[in-house]
Amino acid sequence: MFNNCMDKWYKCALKHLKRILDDALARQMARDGISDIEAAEEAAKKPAKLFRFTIKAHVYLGFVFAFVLAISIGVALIATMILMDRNLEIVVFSNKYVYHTFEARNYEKGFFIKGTGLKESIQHIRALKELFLEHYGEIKKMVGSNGLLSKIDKYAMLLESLDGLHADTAAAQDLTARSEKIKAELQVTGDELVTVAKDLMKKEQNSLDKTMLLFRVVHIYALVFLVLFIAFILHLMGVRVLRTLNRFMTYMSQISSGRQTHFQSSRLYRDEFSDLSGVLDQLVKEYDRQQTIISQSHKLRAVGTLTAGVAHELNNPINNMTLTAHMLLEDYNELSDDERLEMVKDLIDEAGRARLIVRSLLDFARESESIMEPIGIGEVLEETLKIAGSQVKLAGVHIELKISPNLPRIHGDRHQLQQVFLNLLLNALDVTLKGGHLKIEVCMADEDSFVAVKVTDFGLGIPDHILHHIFDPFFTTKAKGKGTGLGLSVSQGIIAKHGGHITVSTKQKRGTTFTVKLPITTIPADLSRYAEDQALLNSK
Amino acid sequence: MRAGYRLMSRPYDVPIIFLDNFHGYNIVSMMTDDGKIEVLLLDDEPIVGKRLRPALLKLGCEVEVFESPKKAIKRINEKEFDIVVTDIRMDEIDGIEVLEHVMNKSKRTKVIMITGYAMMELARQAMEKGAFDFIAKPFKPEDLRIIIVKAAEALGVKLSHAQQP
Repeated sequence: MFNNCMDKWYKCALKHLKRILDDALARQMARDGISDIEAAEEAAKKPAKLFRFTIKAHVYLGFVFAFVLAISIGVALIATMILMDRNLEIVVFSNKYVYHTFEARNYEKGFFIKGTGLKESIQHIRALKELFLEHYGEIKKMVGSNGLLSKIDKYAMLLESLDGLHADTAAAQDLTARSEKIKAELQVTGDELVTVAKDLMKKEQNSLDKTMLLFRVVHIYALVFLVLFIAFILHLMGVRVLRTLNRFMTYMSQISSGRQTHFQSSRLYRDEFSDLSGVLDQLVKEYDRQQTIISQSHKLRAVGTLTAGVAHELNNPINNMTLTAHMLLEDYNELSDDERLEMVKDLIDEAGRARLIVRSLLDFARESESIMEPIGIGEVLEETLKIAGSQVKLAGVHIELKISPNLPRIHGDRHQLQQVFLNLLLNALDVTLKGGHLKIEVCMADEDSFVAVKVTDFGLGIPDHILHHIFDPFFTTKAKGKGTGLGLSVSQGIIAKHGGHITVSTKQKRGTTFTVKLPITTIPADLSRYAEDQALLNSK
Repeated sequence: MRAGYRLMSRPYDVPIIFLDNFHGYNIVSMMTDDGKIEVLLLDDEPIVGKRLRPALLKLGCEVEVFESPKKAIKRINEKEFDIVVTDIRMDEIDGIEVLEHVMNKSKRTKVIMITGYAMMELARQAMEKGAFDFIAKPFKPEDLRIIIVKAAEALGVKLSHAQQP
């Protein structure tokens, strides 16, 4: 029975294996023939092509397997027990058979030496006959029945006739001669009986050995199947469920810390977890989209804040143009050509100045695709200061910018980082009184392969009960309509996406330092551009 | 723009001048001792001084132009001007401080403030501190000249003012 079961199981496993191999082979072949982009698409489509092996199926299969296994082991054990039992019966009766045979022979031999024991011999041979009749089937199967009964009968008859001979004194004269004749016949028949008995014993021994072996084999198989079953369950619980759950946990914690990841499954089959990861991926995409919207709306908010400063700043070139144009109009006839030219040049310069002011703000406000590229962090800060320049002037705050020389580049999105630093700068401006100063420092961080940007104000510091909440979305201490409470939360999101982090240290009445740490880039610069430059140089 | 600052900021002790009638006046009377109104013009934008100097000279004023508030204050300490025109927002010292300085030095001097754009709060502050009037960027040279004429009138001087057609 279990041979049968094992066969089925084995075939099933083979079928699955073949399917997996075919699948992998087909994918490999498909991939070899297509371009990179198509390969990516292929990878995206991969789950649809994989066959489904659900955990539910796995559990059901496990149960069915366990059930079949238990029944097979039970049946096998019962069958071997019955076999064992039967064998023991055979042992018992063949022992009896051998005993009676040998006893009958012994008494018969004793009779010829001592003259007594014939009766006992007859008794034994009768018992033997009974035993033979009782277990005719088994004995026939084991040693064959070719004239065994007649031999026993003949032996019994010889013994009886010998007994009769001794009882009949009248025929005493030829007693010895007849006795000798019977004795000879007895010996032949007795020997035959003994041979059969020995044969029986040997066969019985063999059969017992075989059954014992079977018994052991069945036990070992049961054990092996149990181990296999345990492995199956372990695979289900340990590998499939727990490991996948662990992966999901790492994945989720990565997402919650703001890192952009995609759930990549290397598995060859689909199951409930594949569905879950699909749903989660969707969720993350949606979350990302929302995050982008929040980030953009916050950016526009910052632009709104900057607008006051920009409007102010714009008034200067516009005023210069107004004055110049009016004076040119007023004094046109009195002015020399040179003076007129100078005034027109002034007009052009001032118009350019106005354009620059507007452009830096519009550049920043524009909704742009996230482009990750190697950038110098110092440049980003200088640009940020340019964007916020008019705001800084308006606030009447002096900013001390210190950039360490030869800083390694970082890998990041210029506009997003500008947004972060602008936000920190505007926050710092808010708590700085007119005529106060701020410090911005760009240097290597204490941590290896990180650069740090420290924005320090010398305001009142952040109280402890607020400090825990400053990175929470929608938390703000600013007046209604002045802050969205999203600045630091959005900044934290952006920095986390860059693989860095923002920390804050504050001292009551002394000031606050926000430190942004960003990992330096390990991606090589665009060498193709370098090669082009070299080629250009060489051609010259 | 002109109506805006007039509404917001006109000090009520100054007689209202009808601007339309004012154009083309050509009367010179009641001059200061040396016969000329002395104006100090302070703005950190060089073009402002460069263009306004000839505009004010036409009024018959004496004009000194400064770009640095520090130098201007130094000059104010040396000499009493009739009219000081100052920008409010400057890097080192802002216009309000210059106003305070002038007011401490000489109550007689009329201070005209130039603001980046009309900020009520700053305007109110300036008026409280004794500014004569203020003018918002961007303005035409004529706008300033009108205020200068008013200020001169408040000082009892009638400036000649020949508007270009």
